[in-house]
Amino acid sequence: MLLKSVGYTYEDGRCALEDISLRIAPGEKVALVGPNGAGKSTLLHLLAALYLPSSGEGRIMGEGLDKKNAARARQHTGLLFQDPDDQIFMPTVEEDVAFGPINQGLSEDEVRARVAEGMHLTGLAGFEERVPHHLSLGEKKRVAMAGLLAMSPDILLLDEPTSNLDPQGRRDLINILRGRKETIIIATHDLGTAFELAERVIVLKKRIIFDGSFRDLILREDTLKEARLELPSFSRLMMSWRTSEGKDFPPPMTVEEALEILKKRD
Amino acid sequence: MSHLDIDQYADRSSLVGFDPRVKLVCSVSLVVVLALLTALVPLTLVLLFVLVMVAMSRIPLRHVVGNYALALVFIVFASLTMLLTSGPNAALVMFIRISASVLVLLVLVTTTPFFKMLEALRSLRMPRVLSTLMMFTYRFIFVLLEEMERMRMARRARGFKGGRSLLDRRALGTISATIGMVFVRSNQRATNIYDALLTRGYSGHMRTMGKLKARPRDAALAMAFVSVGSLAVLIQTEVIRWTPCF
Repeated sequence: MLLKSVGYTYEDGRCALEDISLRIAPGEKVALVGPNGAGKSTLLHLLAALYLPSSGEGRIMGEGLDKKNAARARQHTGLLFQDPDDQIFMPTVEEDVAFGPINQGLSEDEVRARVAEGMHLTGLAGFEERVPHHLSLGEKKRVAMAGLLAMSPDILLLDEPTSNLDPQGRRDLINILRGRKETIIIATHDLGTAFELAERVIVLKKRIIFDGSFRDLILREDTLKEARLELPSFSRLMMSWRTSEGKDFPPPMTVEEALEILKKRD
Repeated sequence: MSHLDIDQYADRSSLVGFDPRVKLVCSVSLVVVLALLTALVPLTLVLLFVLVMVAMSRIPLRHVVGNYALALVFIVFASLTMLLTSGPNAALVMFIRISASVLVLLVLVTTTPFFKMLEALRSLRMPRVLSTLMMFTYRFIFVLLEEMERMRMARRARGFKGGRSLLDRRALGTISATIGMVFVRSNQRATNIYDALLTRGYSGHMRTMGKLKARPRDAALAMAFVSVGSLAVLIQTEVIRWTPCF
């Protein structure tokens, strides 16, 4: 994925993105963070070829982000919407998961295999005939995810995948995504989830104000403040300890890493 | 939030496994036959058949009676009109004809999940745009109802108690603002849904897995409908003469 000086302005004249340049390699896991209104969802829509750049140019898997190639570019991406009700439109779970593969023109057997795999990966086996309006939010998110996985896109674009989920729902979603081979771009406020799933972080505030590793971001207090980001509790504790005790260790990204540092403190 | 659920008995019914196309064609054909019958004997025969279908379907009696009661006002009105214009026999014919029609259609819609019904309609050449519209309406009516319920709760949580009368201007203003907000949100949701459709390869046609298959038991069901319908028509046209002993 390649964006060169991309800008996006809504029809009402509101500028959502300015001068965005980035390159994302196949298989890379990237977190997109920033305050509300920073343009995270807009950027995901651009990367899904649903919006076209107002200025600059971009390419998705070799397909240009323009009117002529947008439909082809979309075939490489799968976008998980923030509200699963926007994304689940068929009256039964099985039919909804099958919607994408059918549109891809796959054979009936292949569609069935993809549906079964998508439902298995998201823990939805047995939900085939369930109707969406009887599902909980966590289940709806898993149905939406199953619909994406069944299409086997090269790039997964996830818009706030853990918002409004209970801790177990959040954990289930992380487990589904962990270890996947696709390129994954997650727009989120939940840095804990981002730490677990992504190696690279892009901080957005209409422009890119940081692009690098999480460990580098944690050390940049000014950027965290500007982007109104809050580190997870364990991370804040460790960084406070590091400062107050004058310790020198790389910022931990997970509770397990923090525990290892604490074990070696002497 | 509790949902209005038109499929609540479909999965429990013994008729759910039958091909919805067969059920649809048979039921509508029987209603057409009922519309043509004018004699009491064939009408009673069809009504008995429909009652057997109701019993076989295992739909809770309360549900059948409740839904039939909704139509009863119209049935009684039509029958009374016939009583005053054409006499008691015509009134009874009208009563049985509409009752049997209502019951056979009630069995059809209660024992067939809505989505299967749409599949059946699509396979019977219903315009795709219409079936897609119906499917989206069925899917998103609940989302819209939930949104309206949340807004109602939000109004109440902030002290709104509703007007004392229908002419209360403040209440009307609040409710019309809420309705306006529902339209705005619906418009935003429609945009999001269209974007989601595009990301999943939508190109103007809603395609489904299409699992409808007619089996021998569907043929048996069709035969039962055809036999009863034919017998009723034969009695009506006096090809078969049958005089009840009552």
